[in-house]
Amino acid sequence: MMPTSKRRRVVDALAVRWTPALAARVERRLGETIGRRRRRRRMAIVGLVLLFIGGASFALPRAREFFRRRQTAVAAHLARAPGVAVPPPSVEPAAPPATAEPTASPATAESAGAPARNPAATPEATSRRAAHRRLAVAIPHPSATPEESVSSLFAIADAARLAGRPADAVAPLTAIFTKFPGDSRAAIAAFQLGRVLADELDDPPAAARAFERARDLAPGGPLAKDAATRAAEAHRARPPAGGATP
Amino acid sequence: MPETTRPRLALVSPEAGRPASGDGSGAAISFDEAYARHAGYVAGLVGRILGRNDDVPDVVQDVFLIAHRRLHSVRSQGSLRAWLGRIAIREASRRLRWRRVRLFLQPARTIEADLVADDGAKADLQPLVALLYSTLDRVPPRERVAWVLRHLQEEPLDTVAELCGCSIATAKRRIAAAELLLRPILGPGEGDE
Repeated sequence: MMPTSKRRRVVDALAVRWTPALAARVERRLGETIGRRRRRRRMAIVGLVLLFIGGASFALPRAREFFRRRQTAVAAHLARAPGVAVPPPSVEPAAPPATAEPTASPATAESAGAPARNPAATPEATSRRAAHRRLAVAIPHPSATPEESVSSLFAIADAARLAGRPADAVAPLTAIFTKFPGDSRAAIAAFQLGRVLADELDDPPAAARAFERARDLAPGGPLAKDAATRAAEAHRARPPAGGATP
Repeated sequence: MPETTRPRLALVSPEAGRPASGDGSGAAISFDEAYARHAGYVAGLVGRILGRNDDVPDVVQDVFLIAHRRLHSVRSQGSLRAWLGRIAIREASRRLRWRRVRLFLQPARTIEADLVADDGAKADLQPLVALLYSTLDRVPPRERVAWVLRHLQEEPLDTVAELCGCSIATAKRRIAAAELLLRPILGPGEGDE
């Protein structure tokens, strides 16, 4: 059949030229292109790594400086608050120098034989460290507004109370209603101070004064009635031999 | 097939690149090995679709560049050939579409292409091959690819459908559409008798 053989002959006549030399040339071009692509990818990776390193070297010192300033601010707050003893910020708060280690008294023979007690391991030191850590989070930057300062003073007072040192809460609470008497939370601070003095420090006269101050700061406030009642109770209570005063 | 007058040319037959029996599937595939084994098949496929020898190296290079980037997605050696075939067809179709755009913009352009006709073919077949490919240039690329795979590459219908990424029915429809134009040139096919 002529038409069929014609189709077959055409199919048989087709041949694509693909010589070993052509294959090698294409392979060489492929190698060059792939190598170029690899170099570009490697350069992109190196660029990204350099960008990361540059960014980290830029950001890390600033972050370190930020946290150092924040720690300094905490120490400054604590130093400004009367009655709160804080070591300088450059020194680890709970690790006093070796020279500060109290030597054993010759009068106490039993303590002379005992091993040296590490003050950093005492519960008091631990709680102080924990309070410092909490304060570091709670206290804002030195450039904080008065609004934030009232909050931070409350935070200091709360931290001191949570650490089991209610005496350290007296100063920040006092500072709130003396430095910011116009603040709406001044009466709350005075009332809270009264509670601390009456319930935890057992100082009824000082507590009575604090409750009266709370009543005076907000005579029509929600705490005024309670403050007057607690002041009267404190006046009736027996005065202690000695205690903290606001 | 008649003797070639230029022995330095390796003429690629449709059988080139077929996996040998017992070709392990699942073995790790290296790019160099894939090129060495399947470059001839890809070149033959692309050459028959495009009809010109001068386009073949560029398309083969593009195909293997794509393959180099995505070779990790091929799971077995056995599926590599079909995968390369699909890439080759996609790249060849892209080139055909551009050729049609150029043909539309320059309709009077003369064909001076290096046709994929065997140099040893008889003198009467050279114009027939030229006529065949000039007619194929008027066929849409998808139909052209399906027809070339079926009639020039002599692939079975299921392979044509797989390579074209369509169903067997669609492949048949495309082949039939191209056949309408080509039958007057080549005469009826063997199955049509």
